[in-house]
Amino acid sequence: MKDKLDENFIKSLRVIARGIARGKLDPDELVNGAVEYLISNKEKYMDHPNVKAVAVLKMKGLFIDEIRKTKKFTSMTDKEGRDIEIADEKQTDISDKIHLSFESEKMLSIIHNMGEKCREILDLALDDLTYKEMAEILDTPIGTIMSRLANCRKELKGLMA
Amino acid sequence: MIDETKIMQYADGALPQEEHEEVKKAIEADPKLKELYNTFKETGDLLFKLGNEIKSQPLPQNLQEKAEILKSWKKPIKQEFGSFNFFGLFKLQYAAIAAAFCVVFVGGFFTNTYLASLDQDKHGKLMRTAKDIKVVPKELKFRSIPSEEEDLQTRIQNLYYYFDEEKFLSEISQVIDKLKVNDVFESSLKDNDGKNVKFVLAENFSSKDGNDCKKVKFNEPLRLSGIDKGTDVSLELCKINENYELSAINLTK
Repeated sequence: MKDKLDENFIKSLRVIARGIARGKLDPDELVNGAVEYLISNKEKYMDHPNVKAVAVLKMKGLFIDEIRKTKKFTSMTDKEGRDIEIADEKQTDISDKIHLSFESEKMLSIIHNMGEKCREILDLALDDLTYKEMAEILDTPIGTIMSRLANCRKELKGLMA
Repeated sequence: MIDETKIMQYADGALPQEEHEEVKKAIEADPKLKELYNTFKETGDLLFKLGNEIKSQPLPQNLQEKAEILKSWKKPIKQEFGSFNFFGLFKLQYAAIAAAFCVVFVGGFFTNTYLASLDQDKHGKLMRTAKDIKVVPKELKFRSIPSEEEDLQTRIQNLYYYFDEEKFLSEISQVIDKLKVNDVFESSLKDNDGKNVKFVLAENFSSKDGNDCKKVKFNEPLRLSGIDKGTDVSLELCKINENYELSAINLTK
C-alpha cells in the first residue's frame, strides 16, 4: 500500500479517528497529532510504504496518552483488545466538528459500543479499505481479518435490527 | 461447504472471478447463505455510505494546512488536461449525489429519460467508478433544466445512476479475453428503448503497474443530459488478481 498524501489521506484518517476517539476525544486532534508526527519525521515517512498504518498507530498512541493524562474515560482496552474499566473522573463533552445525519450518528454509535476488535476493523471498513490494507494496518494475517470482519458485520447487522 | 468469508468477499465484489459461479450457486440454493449474503451486502453498503459521509465533510483549517504540507512532499502526477480522476472521490460523493439527483431532476424526468455526463471540452475525463450504481444507455430523451454549468459531479452521477457495474463486469469478464479489437459485445443491460447495450473492444494496453487492461467503448454515443448532443463513453478494465476491475471511465464530447 502506498498512500497518496493529500486531503483525501487526511479525510481517511478522520474516518478512522472517529473510531479511536469514540466520542471521548476530539478525533481531529488525533488526526492533527498524527499528521504533525508524520511532518516532523518527513525523511522517515515520505517514502514509507504504509504511511496510513503509521498514522493509525500514532492516533491510537495519542488516544492512550490522553487517557493516561486525563483519566476522563470510562474504558480502554488491553493489548488483547479487551475492554478495561478505568476511573471515570470526569466526562468531557466533545463537540464533534463533523455533523452526520441521524441515521449515520446512530450507526456510528452502535459501532463504537461494540467490542474493541469489531470497532477497530469496522472503522477501517468505513474507510473502504481492502482486506489486504486492513491486514497491513492491523499487522494481522488477511485470513484473520476477513474472518473477524465477517463476524463483526453479522454482529452489526444484529445490533441494527 | 462455502466459507462465510467467501460470501462476504462475493458481496464486497472482492471474490476472485473463478470462484463466482460456485458461490453464486451456493447462495441461490441455500436460504441461509442468501441471508448471509444480504447481511454482508447491507452492512457493506451502510459502512461505505457512512464513511463517505464523514469524508465529504470539509477539513478544518489546521488540517487543510497540513494536507498542503503533505502534498508538497511530492508533486502529484500530472494528469492529462481535461481528465478528472475520481479515484475515491466518486464513491465519496455517492450518497450526496443520489440526493442531489432527486432534487435537480424532479419534474423533468420522463420515463424514457436518459442522463449522462458531459464534458466541456474535446478531451476525455477520467473517473473512478462506484459500485452498485446502475447504468443508462443511450438515446433516452431528457427534459429538465440542465445548464451549461451543470457540474461534473452531477453529470457523472447521471451516468452512474443507471450503471450496474457488477452486472457489466460479471458479463464481460466471461468473454473479454476472447474478444479482438473492434469485436462487439452485447450485454444484457438495456437502454430505455429496451435494446441491449453493446460495447466494442477498442484497445488492449498495459497499466503502469503492468496489469493487462482493455478499453471498451459503448458502441454508440450516449445522451447523458438534456443538452448533451452525444458523448462517447469508454471503460478501462484492468486485470487485477485474475479479475477484471473497472479502473476508469472516459467521457469524450
